[in-house]
Amino acid sequence: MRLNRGASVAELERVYRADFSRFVRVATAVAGDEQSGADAVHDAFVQAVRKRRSFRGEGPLEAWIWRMVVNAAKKRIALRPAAEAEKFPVEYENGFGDPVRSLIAALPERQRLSLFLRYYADLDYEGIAAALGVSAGTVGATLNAAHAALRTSLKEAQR
Amino acid sequence: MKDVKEILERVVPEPTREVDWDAVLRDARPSGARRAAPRVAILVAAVAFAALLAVAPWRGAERAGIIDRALAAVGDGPVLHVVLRDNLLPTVTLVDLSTGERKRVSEERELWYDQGRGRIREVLRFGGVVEYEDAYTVGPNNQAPEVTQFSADYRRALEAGTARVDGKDVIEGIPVYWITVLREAMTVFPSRKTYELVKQVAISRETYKPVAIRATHDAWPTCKPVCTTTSQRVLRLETMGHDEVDLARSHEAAGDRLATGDPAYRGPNEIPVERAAEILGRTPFWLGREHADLPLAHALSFFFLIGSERERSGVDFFYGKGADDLSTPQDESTSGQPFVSMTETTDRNFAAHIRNYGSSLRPGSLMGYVPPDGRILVTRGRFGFLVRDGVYIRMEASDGKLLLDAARSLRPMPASSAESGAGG
Repeated sequence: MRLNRGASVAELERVYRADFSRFVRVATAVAGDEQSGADAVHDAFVQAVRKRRSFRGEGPLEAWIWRMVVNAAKKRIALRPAAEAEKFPVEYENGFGDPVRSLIAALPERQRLSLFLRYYADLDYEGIAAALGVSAGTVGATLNAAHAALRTSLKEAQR
Repeated sequence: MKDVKEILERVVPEPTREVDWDAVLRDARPSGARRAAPRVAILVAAVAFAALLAVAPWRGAERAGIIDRALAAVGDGPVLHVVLRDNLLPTVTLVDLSTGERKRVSEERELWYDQGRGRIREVLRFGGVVEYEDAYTVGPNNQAPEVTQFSADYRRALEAGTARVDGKDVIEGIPVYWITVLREAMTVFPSRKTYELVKQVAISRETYKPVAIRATHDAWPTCKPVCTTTSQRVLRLETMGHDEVDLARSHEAAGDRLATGDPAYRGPNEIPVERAAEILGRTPFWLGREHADLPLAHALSFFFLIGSERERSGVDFFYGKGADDLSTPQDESTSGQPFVSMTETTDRNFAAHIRNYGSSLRPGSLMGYVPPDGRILVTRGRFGFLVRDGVYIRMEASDGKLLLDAARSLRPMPASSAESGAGG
């Protein structure tokens, strides 16, 4: 029988304090505003503390937490109240306010998350792969596709 | 893509929140007061409604026959085997500099997926040469590629009778039927406007085997009539038995792996052109002090570091009348003026990056494909890549004619300073 390595509260606190801004930034990018992003990070770490004994230790602790943060941020989108949605600062679909936001928002989810984790979290391919639950090869292909899609879309938007 | 970071910086600025670890610990306590769950109704960002498919009527026995034949053509073996070419990647052409003969060079992705065992083997080839390979088991850290989901959707829709024949077309000379596999209604924040994502497979009207797959949506106002998010030519899609394929890592990919990661740069710095050979470590190729009425405006050195490799160097030459400001991208600074630029290196890791035009390489990638002597790889009409005497040369010109003319005119820089003189 394989025993889980588990994670200590102290380890989780270290990761939380060391990378808090990066977590919030990525979660903000996913969830749409900083309040939701910060709440998502909070939720993810609450969950991490509760489930710390289930950390199997097969990969870095940070990757385990990144996955929780991304999932918590995605949940925040679903939980957004209708009234608040009207004040949503990131124009995810209209394509006129800030076309760049719209272009990024219109990317397939995996491409969008890979970009956020690459550029906001500064994760390498292995880190992104672990956070998203895909192979490192897939991350490379996904980032290539995201770059190509953005280039094309930006050119079209500038016409 | 160097500007992606700048773009993303604008989209989400650095957060201003403060850490609150005590709040985390407080809310993590089983007996503690948890944050109240939002009482609002849950807005689901993406709502699949397969019901649309359920009401799609079959229109006649002919269509039912097409679906039956399509299902038979896929087979029912336990291992999916698919070979794809991504139509959304830029077209790359190999041009013979002597004859002008052109030949398309493509990246093909081949994968085998044993769904029952969760085992995947994946090979990428460029110009028929293996550049990347992997074999892995699907699990928490390795999801199956999207195409396997697409294929599973296709097979399921055929079996369930929810697939719908949606017209005829011709793809690369092959007469096809388009079959709609899935329609999903997606809701976009904040307007909650609904748009439709459609996944389709084109099958040969002769063999009923898949020829292409595509996914389209109409989410943006600029999608007229639709935007395409996936467009792949299916070179093969079939199923096979366990004993027909080895899903262990293949040994096709011979050669040293490339160092991966985004190159870290130092420079560029303007140099006297006679120092170019010293910095490159080999005789550079150039176009003289002038080419096609374009003066050699800059000779530059740059240094780069990829992965844990030691720092390497390269040189740039720029022929044109613009680009006085080195920090400005050439496209902007030349303002439509003619120009030719070259980036030269002897380092294969960096060469792979410049061949791929800044795209990041996959870990484990190989520099499998280099254009043969006397030929140049051309992308988007005006970007080129060639190899001369061990020097990898990336070229860019304001138009394709100038690019090929310059590539034909490349010559070793003479050691004599009489011709090379100060260029910048």
